[in-house]
Amino acid sequence: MPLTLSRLPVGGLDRLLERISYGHQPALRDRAFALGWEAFLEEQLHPENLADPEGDAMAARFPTLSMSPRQLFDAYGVTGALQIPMVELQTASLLRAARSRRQLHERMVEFWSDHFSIDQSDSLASILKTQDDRDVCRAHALGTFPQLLRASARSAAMLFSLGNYRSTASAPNENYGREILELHSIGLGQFTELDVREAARCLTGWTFLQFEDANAGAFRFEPAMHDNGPKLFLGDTIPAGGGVLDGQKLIRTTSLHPATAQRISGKLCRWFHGVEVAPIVAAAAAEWTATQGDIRAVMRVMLSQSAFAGAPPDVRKTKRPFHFAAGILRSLPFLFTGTTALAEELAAMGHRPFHWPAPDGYPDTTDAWVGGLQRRWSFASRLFGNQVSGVSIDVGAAFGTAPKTSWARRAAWLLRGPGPLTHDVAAIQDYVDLFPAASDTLRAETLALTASAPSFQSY
Amino acid sequence: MNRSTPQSNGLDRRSFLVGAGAVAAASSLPRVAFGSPPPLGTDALVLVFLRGGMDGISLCSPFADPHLASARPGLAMPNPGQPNGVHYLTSFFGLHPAAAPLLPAFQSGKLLFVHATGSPESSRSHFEAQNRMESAWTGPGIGLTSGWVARHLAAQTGAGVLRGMGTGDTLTRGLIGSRGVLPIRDPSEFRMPGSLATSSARRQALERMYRDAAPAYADASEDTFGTIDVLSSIDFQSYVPAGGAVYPATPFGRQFQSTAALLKASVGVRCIEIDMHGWDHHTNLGAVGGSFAALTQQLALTLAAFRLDMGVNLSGVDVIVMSEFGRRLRPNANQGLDHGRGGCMLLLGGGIAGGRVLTQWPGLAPANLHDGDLAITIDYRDVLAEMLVRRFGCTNIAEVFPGFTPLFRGVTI
Repeated sequence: MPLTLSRLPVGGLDRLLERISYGHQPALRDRAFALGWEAFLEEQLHPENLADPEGDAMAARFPTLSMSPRQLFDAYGVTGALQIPMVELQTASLLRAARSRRQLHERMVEFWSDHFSIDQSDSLASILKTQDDRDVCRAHALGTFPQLLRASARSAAMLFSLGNYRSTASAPNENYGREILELHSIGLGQFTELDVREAARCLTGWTFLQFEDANAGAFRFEPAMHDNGPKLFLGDTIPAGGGVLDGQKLIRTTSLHPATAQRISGKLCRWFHGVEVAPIVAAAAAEWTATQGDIRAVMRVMLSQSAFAGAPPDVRKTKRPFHFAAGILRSLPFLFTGTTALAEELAAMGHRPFHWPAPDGYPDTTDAWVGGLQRRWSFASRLFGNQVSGVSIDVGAAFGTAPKTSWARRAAWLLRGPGPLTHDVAAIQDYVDLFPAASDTLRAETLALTASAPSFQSY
Repeated sequence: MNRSTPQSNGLDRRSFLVGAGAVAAASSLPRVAFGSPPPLGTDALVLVFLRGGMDGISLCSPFADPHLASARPGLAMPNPGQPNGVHYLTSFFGLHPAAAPLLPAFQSGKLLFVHATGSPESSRSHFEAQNRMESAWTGPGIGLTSGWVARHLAAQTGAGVLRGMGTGDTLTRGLIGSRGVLPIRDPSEFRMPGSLATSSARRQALERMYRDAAPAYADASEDTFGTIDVLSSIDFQSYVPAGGAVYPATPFGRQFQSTAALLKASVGVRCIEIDMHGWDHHTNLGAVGGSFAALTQQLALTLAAFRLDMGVNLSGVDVIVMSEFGRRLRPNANQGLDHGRGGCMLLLGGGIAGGRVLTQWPGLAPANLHDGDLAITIDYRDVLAEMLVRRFGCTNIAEVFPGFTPLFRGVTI
């Protein structure tokens, strides 16, 4: 359930920045104000044209990100060190969310990672999710939905997780056939149990090359496993003998179905605007239909100035822990020396990336997360106290020469940017004033309290 | 349908109650089944939700059903007394070999199986089935955002600051909607972070900020501070299970051990939910040695350790184990089972009329199946409502299960 706060809304471009990014950072804000709404949004909609040295440098620290399933299997599968590629991907996701200039792209990647949720802890998914993240969620985050859905349907991680890789004509496995309809496209109420069975039949033979193969993890259509009989899917007859075309037709039909446009536009609207705003969803769904599922075009509509003008100004949704942590790491420079600690911190907050145990993805509601305040306070305290191993923050540099009497305001600017000064700031400054001497401990506590304040928990 | 069971006349009583329920709803009186005695007490509830759809036919196997073996080639297990056979529970049902650690609890009358149970909703979607089961909503769409556990706990004003907790990453649907309910993965780490020296001043600053925040945050922070006070008084680290109990070294086992420590501390916690994932056995369910057996063994070892550890304290605690649905009767090509209908619940505790398999067994003959699967003859809400009213001091059962008149099946003593 969204929250309504009696706090003044952040105005204009700052609202756009708050919704499409993981949090305040002066450089991005300056860029937005220099370009103006349309040009800045257009820049964010084209991450491929946006130089991103800091984000690239973060990614470059994790060699497994660019490895193929074959390479990952040889390097880690044989020795059983599967934790390495898993934790690298989790940590890289957080650091890119925090430091990449392609903020909208990162928010989209997180969205699709839940939409096509894969639990890395499920056996081979530990190795295969790396490829899925790179070639599905990242590659198509702002591409077209038919291509995104097709890439997911050909992804070894997805075919493995939902069991389709072994589904055969003699008795198809319905798991993926169900979820591609219910979760990935048209949604509940749009299909029957018969459609589930027919979808599963269409997808029989969609599998991937196993680890005996040099090109392991690549998609493979296995004709011998495919059910070549005629099918009746969503009221349309699929003639016999279609082979791999059956599945392709299924993907085309579902990805361009009006119910998919409506449903995913609604999910995206909740993601960026906090609630489903009927006119925004309708405009986005219409754009989806007009452009045959061009995600970039849909986002251009959803994030337009006029869309924001029609959205309720005071709706704020609780940040999920990943968003919360990325926002903190975004606010200050830090030295990262590469350990597993950040991923463990996310796990302690209940939000280790790619670890939701069901295929529906982590929830995106205030109800589900608001009870976890203590976990967030702990993370903020440890991080600013330099107790998260491998991450060090120079809290002295963060405050510079600012007088102690302005520390709460300084911390609020660093973490939240130009939002109005809430009474949080007064409470934190009163805390600072309790102590006569300036110290790094007090600076760290000031930052941790600011990150722990109610005003930092939502967006 | 005519197999002799302890509840063989249940269907007739049920049809009577449907009419009686309509009257009760009209007069908006909270109504439970006739003849039910007053609440017995306020046991603590430990709720275990087996996510994914646990195959009740494998766990509590109807070995004497003449249609089982032919319907499940390769998955039906041998009869009691044979190598790798199921353990004898009744002349009709046998326990999965991997669940053998549960036999002492069954034999001492503390463990009850309820079979061919589930929701009248026919969804085969995990998420819809779980949402509807946890919200206990049966109308169209999403009619209730709160969960049945939360609605019960919301009325438990005599409970402690921490009325309920979930050990998962987030609060599950069943726990959403009550004050005093928090997600706590490890209660031993639930304290004010940072330096002890400044802890109380920082806490005051946080309390001041959250007091005036939006209600969801103000409530959550108040519950959080109260719970920090409660949990910091318990020494989880040096807790030693009683009776020589050894919990499996898994997150699930450790959470049960913390639960035992928490319940013995008597701080007024009324419900702890500990979920177990991985029951969606579309591939390689296995018979006696597969992935189902491994999960079942972990569940059984944990529950057995908990029973041993709680000892006499078990008289005030009841464990309910449930899942969103059972699985298909017939295996798929991958020696797995797709989503089905009727399933099996386990009840363990001091207040359980156990040592039995409670069922109106519908039979596995093709004509008796529901869309090819085990039919449901006992509504899961019948079981939960009886537990709530008779064991958990529930005073608002009509709110917990709106529009439903439960039939008490005799699951409690």
